Amino acid sequence: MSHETITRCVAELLEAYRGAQRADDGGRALVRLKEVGLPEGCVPATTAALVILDPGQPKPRVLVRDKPRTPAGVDPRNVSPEIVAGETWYTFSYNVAWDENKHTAVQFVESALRRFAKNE
Amino acid sequence: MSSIQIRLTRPSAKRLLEHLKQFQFPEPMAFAFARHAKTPRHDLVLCDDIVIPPASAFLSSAGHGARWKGSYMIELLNEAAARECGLFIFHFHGGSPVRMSGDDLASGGELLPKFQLIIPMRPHGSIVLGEDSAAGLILMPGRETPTERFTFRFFERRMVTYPLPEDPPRERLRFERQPLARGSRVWKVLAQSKIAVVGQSGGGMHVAQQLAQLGVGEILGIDNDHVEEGNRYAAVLVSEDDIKGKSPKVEAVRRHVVRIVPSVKYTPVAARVPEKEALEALKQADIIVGCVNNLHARADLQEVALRYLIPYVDIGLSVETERDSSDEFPLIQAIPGNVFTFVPGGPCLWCTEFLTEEKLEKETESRGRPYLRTVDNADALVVSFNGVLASQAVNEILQLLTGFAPEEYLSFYKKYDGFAGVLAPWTVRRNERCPKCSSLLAAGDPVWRS
Repeated sequence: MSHETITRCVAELLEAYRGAQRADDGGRALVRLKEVGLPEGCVPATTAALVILDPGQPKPRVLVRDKPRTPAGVDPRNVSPEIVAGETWYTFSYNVAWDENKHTAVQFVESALRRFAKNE
Repeated sequence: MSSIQIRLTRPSAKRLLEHLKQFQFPEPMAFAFARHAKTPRHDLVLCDDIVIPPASAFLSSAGHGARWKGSYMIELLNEAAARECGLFIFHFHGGSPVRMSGDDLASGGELLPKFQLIIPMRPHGSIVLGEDSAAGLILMPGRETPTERFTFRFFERRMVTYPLPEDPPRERLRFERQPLARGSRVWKVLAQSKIAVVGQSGGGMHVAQQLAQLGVGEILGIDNDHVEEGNRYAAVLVSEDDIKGKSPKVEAVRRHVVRIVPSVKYTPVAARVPEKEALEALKQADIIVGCVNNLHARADLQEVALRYLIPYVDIGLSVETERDSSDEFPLIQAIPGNVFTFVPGGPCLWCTEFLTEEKLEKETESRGRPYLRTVDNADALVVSFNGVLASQAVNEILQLLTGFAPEEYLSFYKKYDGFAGVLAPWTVRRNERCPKCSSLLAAGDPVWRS
């Protein structure tokens, strides 16, 4: 991702999510989203999320504070804890297309979170 | 507010102390850029970058104390602000314990609030170091008045923390025949230490038991696994009841070490690194020992150690057998192992390429961390080989706490050959272009902004 894209994404996320905060950590931009909605039926219904915007990576990464249970009442597959900037977050697998010239950061975050709607 | 502890990396402490202890007029002084972090035990002030002002930065001074130009101060504050760092002033006095002079207190009281106006999100301080103590003023973010209460930690041949424990002559007599240290101070250092042992299986059980026997103050045992039949051959602290009852490993270890040393404090943390409970426990530790069986866990421990300036001792062993052999006694191809000691500011597991992105990718078959599968009881299921490496890990901890071996014998990396029965030192150096050291060393917590 280019530095221009990262700057744009940070601005979009700060504007779209109330209470969002940003930080720089080891050359990456981090945006902490105080509350994001998870797909209907997930427990919890909302959680905090973290977006990592790394100039060395082709697309953003989204992590969540709590490991949710899916609408089917089970633990989602391929979710694991990870340390980012001294805090524990849950990273999860998702397959979201990203074209930095076409998509917004908000679209990316919301698409990634929809992965928890899957009943697995 | 929890207690404040200043931590300096090994190279920065060396540079700072060598400069400050020079005899010159006016007295030598230096600055340090500082970050900070909140942990359950301390508010940490983390310094790696020492700035020794050039002669041109100083004004002529009639008194003993150094005076520097306002333009130099502005230049330094601008750099600190650009790097999101606080600014600390250091100088050196004689006296034991050392104290801030009236002039030091007045200038600190005047300067620190000004620094805070410019960089409010980081701590600032004015510190005087002595031969065996430190004193000073620290103004933490969000505070209106500076505090004089803090501890000061740096790394040389050993890890030194001021104030040192008291060593009254009456107590010294009790220890005069001890080989590692004649006074009571070393034993008090051990008794005040909190050591996290990650992985309470083959290596970690040995380590926990030996730490208890050495009188370490608190052992944080971290593991989310349960005892099973396979542990019988790998671990020292497993009983038949533990196997039958599938006891959580941390509970099994707690029961056994408390039976051996009733006074030991063993805190079980039934979680896996990097789960939150495990991470919070690690942040409290004076030293971390990693007895883990995958590279991702090692990368996590290394990150915590770099970020919060915590020494980290890593052990690893594998028993490489011929694949697909149906022999009752398969030929063992190699029994390699390692003991790696990270001292903050020294070489890390990334500097030495023990950890690389490629190796981490291989562990998840290039599918990313969510696909990491930990393999319990893989490979090293031999209690005696585990014991060799675990004992050396405890020796490394003793070196960190007591500095028993001279500087020239310090080795950050020891390779083990189970065939030859040899644990040999290997020279490793910090890679100045190491991507992790350059971005994570003394990084502390990031500064969050709206």
